[in-house]
Order: sequence, then structure tokens, then C-alpha cells
Amino acid sequence: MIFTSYTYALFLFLVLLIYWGISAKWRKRFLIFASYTFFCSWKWQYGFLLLGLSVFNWAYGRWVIKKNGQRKYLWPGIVVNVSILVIFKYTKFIVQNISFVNVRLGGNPFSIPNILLPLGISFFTFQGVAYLVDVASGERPFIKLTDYLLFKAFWPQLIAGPIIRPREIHDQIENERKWSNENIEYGLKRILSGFFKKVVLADNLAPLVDAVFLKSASPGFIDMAAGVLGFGLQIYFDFSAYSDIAIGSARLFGYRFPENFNWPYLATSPREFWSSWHMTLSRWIRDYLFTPLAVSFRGAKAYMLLAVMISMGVCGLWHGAAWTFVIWGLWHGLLLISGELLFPQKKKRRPSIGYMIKYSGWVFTMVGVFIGWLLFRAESIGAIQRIFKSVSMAPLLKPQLMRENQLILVATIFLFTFFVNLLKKLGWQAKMRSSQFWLEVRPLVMPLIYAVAVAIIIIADTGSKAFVYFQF
Amino acid sequence: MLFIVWSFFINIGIFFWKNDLERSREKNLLQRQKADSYGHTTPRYDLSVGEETANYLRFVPDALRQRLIILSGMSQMYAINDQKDEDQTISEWMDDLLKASGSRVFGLAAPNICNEEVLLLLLAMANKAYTKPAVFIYGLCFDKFRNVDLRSSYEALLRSEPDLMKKWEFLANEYRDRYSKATDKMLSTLKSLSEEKKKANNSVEKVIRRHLSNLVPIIGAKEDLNAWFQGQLYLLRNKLFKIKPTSKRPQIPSRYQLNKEFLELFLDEAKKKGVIPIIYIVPLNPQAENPYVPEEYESFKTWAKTLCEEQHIPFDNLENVVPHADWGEFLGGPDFKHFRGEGHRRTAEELVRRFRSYFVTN
Repeated sequence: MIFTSYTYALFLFLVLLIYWGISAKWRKRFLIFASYTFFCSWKWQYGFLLLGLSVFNWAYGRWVIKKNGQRKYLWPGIVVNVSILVIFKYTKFIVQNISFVNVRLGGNPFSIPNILLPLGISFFTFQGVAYLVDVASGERPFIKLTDYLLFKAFWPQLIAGPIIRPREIHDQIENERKWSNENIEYGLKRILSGFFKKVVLADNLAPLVDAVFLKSASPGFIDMAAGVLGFGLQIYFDFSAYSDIAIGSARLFGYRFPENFNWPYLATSPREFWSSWHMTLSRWIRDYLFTPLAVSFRGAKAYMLLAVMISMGVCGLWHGAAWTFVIWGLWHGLLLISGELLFPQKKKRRPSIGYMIKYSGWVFTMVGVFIGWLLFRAESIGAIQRIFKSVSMAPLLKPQLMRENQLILVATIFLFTFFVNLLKKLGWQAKMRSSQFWLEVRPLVMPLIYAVAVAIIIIADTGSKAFVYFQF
Repeated sequence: MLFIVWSFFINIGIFFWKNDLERSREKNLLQRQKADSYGHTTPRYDLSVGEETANYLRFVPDALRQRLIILSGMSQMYAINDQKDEDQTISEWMDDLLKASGSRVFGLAAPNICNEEVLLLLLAMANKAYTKPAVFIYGLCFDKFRNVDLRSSYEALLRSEPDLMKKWEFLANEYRDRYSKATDKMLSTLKSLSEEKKKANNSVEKVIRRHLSNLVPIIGAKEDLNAWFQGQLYLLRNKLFKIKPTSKRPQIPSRYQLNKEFLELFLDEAKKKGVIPIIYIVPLNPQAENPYVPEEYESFKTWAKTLCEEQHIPFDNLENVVPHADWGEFLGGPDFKHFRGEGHRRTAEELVRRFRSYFVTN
């Protein structure tokens, strides 16, 4: 059940109707049932995996507390969660690499197992680890199993985040949710925004990007640049659309989820980029990997750099079981380190120098991030080599692959994004929203804008395409 | 509340727009059933021009009972400028000319058709004995070598026949070493189709979509609206960038190469299946400016001729068979690619004259 399908819209409508129609004491149980229905609509067998892991983490969390949260008792719980992730997601990758080495040493290749990846496994195993660590560090655990099952399985965040921490939702789950018109309005607006980003923008960019990264393609520089730019926009619209629909759907039931994106393409340093891109994953990496590593290295500068590289390497590997993702992670590690060296954050600076550093920081960050998207999107290291070889052999400014219309489409969406970002940066959005004229026309114009947006989404819809982050 | 009111008005507007569209389509050539010179009203070419090809395959003359000739190509095959009642398309004229000698012609054309699509049409037709053609004529158009990908209606055609999908995959694997780009593209097409097939099999989504398209005008008309919207975007693009039909459009090397491979694959496969492929260069308006870069076009014609000679494929260049007077106008200037009814007749006669020995059995 893809978020941008009519099936999901119907599912959401029915669940919403029943949820607010039944007695408050049944609502949580009903949401758990609806969440498992949602999850099992892909492959029902994996419902048992989710249920089993949820019951394990809930029980283990309670047991760890009884042991006063001692670290030695925490590790087995973490190992169980990570092992499940490794078995399902990385077995093939590991066997492939061992086989490769074995062949190099003169041995025979191993047969490569083909394990189907359960949807959202990277998210719910990371959430499981975070729960155990937080509980062991003194955070309040979920006492009731139903509360924990809802925390773990609540469908808007189940497949692709946001990765929610217990403390962000604990009170919301324990306390009865009340109907609020504001929540419903806000939720619907966020869902509409997500549908627009996904169906109108991301899905229209996807075929152009795919063509550049096709194995048989021979892109020139212009094609590669448009493909990488297009992919950077596609993945942003795709994933932030998912987050919008997740946050909006949860809000309809009275739950507030943390934000996952905060204008990442406005970031003036790599550090700022990672504080505004997939924010809930960034803080997971920071809190559960980088900080413990940095603490264990006792703050020595060289080791801190190593901690950054290890954390970002793991971040890359989390995104996919391939060396391209590891290289992408390490590339961002390098960006973070060089960003800190080149554009150090000093409080006192002359404004002109401050602006200059800020804008060069933005250029540096965006160039780095978009080069990173090339590594992220390519199917293999061989594919990256092939693309560069093709680019080097073609005339610099003559498109080898893309039609003029496709280039215009990428450029238009880029300019649209740039313009919206600029409005945000200059604070014009806020100014416009508070202007007298806008306040007067808003009640009439906004419903029209929403109606037109719905119409555009319906017209642009060519079938519900899966979200990019579903593969992680 | 206002949102619902606005949405209601938008849907009412679309409801009337769609009704108008349906009416104008009924008047349009593509929807009109015309009687042939024998008084028959059975379609003799895919009137949907690629949009609903599967529905028109049942009108293909039985290849087990007569010699079947397929004519495929781009919009020149069916578009008629300044149309008159007695006008016919190339395939209809050819059918009239050859019917008496026991050969029947059926047209399978679509706008901007690319070579991957023509390969699909060949496989789809050759897949069943009663549609397997004896001859498959393909009118080569230079600028169509800029196009790639199967249109969604052809994807649906491929998806609807599991046997055809298997053949597609088999063919891709068979020619992998020889035509790496084309076969890689075929496998990538197949991969995306398999994913879509899974979605199409999701009966809940299908049922909801079907019911909603009957209930909500905008959902029912979304494909037409999408096409209209894209048309407007093209016009806007033309206006913004001052693009005319004759603005020079250089070839896009990677796409050109891919189409070349697909054409070679098409020829190999046709021969293997016992179908005679015939290639001709489509007529162009001799006095109208065209968007081709002259050196590129010359090199294309030489390549096509050499390829056909090497592979012993019947080939001819019909570039100059339609005189200037038989062409019409397009967007305020002479149309370089679509002619009037007379141009269709002339092209059909030339094809029959030059390739008659392949069309008629002794």
C-alpha cells in the first residue's frame, strides 16, 4: 500500500472514521490492528518479524531496567536487533565480498543467497536499538505492551521514519488523544503537500534520472549534470513527501511526529546540511554512534575525525548494502571535516566577511552534496567509472542522451525549488503571510489553491510509484 | 467548505470540457469508420494510432488465409492535411491496390514511433500465426531516432501478454552480446513493467480507480487532461524559446545509437521469424525547410542504405516521391512531414511499384 495510492487514501479515511468513532479505550488497539494491516499488505509473513522483535524489545527493555541499565546487559539486546538487520539486509553483500576475495585467492565463487528485504527493517531495527539504549540510560520505558506495540508499529513512521524516540511520543501514546479541527486541517495540508511533491515533482523527474543511470546509457557532461541535479531534487521531493504524508497522517489521529527535513538545500555548511536532511537519522547517528565513539576516543582530535568517518561510513551502509553507499557516507564524512576546517563557525566577524563565508559555504556544501548524489544513485563503482568514461569521451556541452524538453523540465523544477528556497531565506514567505492583503484574501484563495493542487495531483498521477527510501 | 465548492466547480468545468472533447473526437478522422472501395467498414489501420492498439489487432486480416503486409511508421502514415471525404491513408491505398492479388495491408502507426516500439509491434504480430505478417514495411524517419522508450499504451500491450513478455526477455538475452545497448534497454523496460504488473494486479487499487473514474469527472478525464496540459506546456516552450517546427534539432548521440541497434535487431529478428522486412526513407516536403542538420541526415541515409544492402533487406529512398503541391501547412508554414490525401496515394503507389515482387506471390 503506497502512500500515494487511492488504496491508502481509502485506508486512511476508513481508519480515521472508525478511530474517532469508537470508544477511547479501544483506539490504541485499533491503531495497532490498522498498522499491522498496513504492514502486512506487502508481505504478511513479515508481520511476525515485526511483532516478534517488538515483543522482544519491550520485554528486554524492562529486564535491562531491572539490571539497573548496566551496559553489559544492554549489548545482547542491541546485538539481536543489529543481527536481524544484518541477516536480512547484509548477508548477500557479505557473501558477495567474501566470494570475491576467495575467487581472487584462486578459490571458487560462493552461491549468493537471495533474501527478500522486509520493508522498513532499517528503520524499525534502529528504533529498537535506540529504545534499549535510551531505557538503559534512564528514560521511562513503556510499561504496557500495547503502548510499545503502537510505538513500534504505528504505520505512518513504520516504513521510512521519522525515527521517533520514546520520549517524543511516550506521553502522546499514554494519554488519550482528543479530536481537534486544527490537527485535522494541519494533517490534511501536510498530506496534500506530500502528494504534490511526490506525484507532481519527484515522479516526473524519475524517468529522466533513470535514463542517465541506465547501464547502456552513454551520458555527456550536460546529461550527467542534469541527471545528478535531477536526482538530488527527486530524492528530496520523494523523501520529504513521504515525511509530510507520515507527519500529516499521524496528526489526523492526534499524534505529533518530529520533523525530518528543514530546507536542507539552504545549508551553508555540511554540518548544517546534516542537521536539516533526514534529521531523525542524523541525530540517531550522532547520539548512538558518533558520541559514544567520540567519548571512547576521549576527545583526541585525530580520533574525532576517525569517529566522523566511521559514523558517516555506517550511515552510508545503512542506506544500502553496496560499496557505493559506503563511499557516499565516507564522502560526506570528508565533507563534514573539510567544511569545519574551511568554514569554521566564529561568532565575531565583519558582516561582509560573514556573508562571503556563508555563501561560499553554501556553494561548497551544494557542490559536495550533489557530487555525493552521483555516488548514491549509481548502481556500482563500475557504473560510476562508466559514466565518467562516457563523459570524458563526449563533447563537453552537447547533450548525448537527454532531449531539450527533459533538460528544460529539470531546469524548471530546479528554478522552482531555488525560488521557493530563496523566498524562505529572505523571509518573504513570513512577510507575505502577515501582510494585510494576504490576510484578507486568504480565506477565499487558499481553498482554491488546495482545490487546484488536488486537481494537478490527479492529472499528473501516472500510477503510484514506490518511494525511493522504501528500499532502505 | 470553500475547498469543496471550488472542487465542485472544477469538476463541473471538466465534465463539460470532456463532453466537448468527445464530440470533437467523433468528428475527427481517427474515430470515423470509413467504408473502403468495396463498401467495407472494417478498420484497415490502428485508428487509435497506438493508444489502444490491442483493440485493433482483431481487425488485422487473417494471415493464415491471405498474404498479410504490415505498414508501420510515424504520424505520416495516418495524418492527412486538408482532408477530403475521399482521402485515404497509405495503408488503405495499398490495401486497395493489392487486395485483388490476394494480399492484404494493415497499418500499425503511432506518432513519433521509435525503433523499440516497432520491434515490439513485429514481435506482437509474429507471436500468433493468424497475425504473422509475410512482409513488414517500416518507413524510417530520421528525427524519430531521437525518441526512446515504449509509450504507456505499448507497455500495456506488452504487459497484457505474458507470452510476449517472455519472448521479449528471451530476445534481449539472445542478442545481449551483439546489441548491448538495445538489449539492456529491453531488460530495463521489462523490469519496470514487472513492477507495474504487480501494481496492476493489486485488485483493490484497480477497483477503486475504476469506480472513482466513473464517479469523479476529473479522475475519469485525467489522461485527456494530462495530454492537454502537456500540449500547452509544449506550446509555452515553443513560445518562450522561439521554437518552430523547422528549428534545427541535432541528433542526440546516445539515443541515435540506441535506435540504430534496435533497427538492426528488428531486421535480424524479422528475418529469423520468416518475415520479410522492407525499409524505406519516408517522403519529405522538397520545398519546406526541415529541422535536420544536413550532414547528419545524409550520414543517416547512407547508413540505412548500407545496412540494408549488407543484410540483403529490400530498401528504397522515397524522400522525393511527393511533390510540393501535395503537402499542407502546419503552424503557419509549409508542413515538411505530413501531406494531403494525394501524397498518401502517391506514396502507396510508389511502395507497391517498387516492392511489388515482395507483396504478391506467384
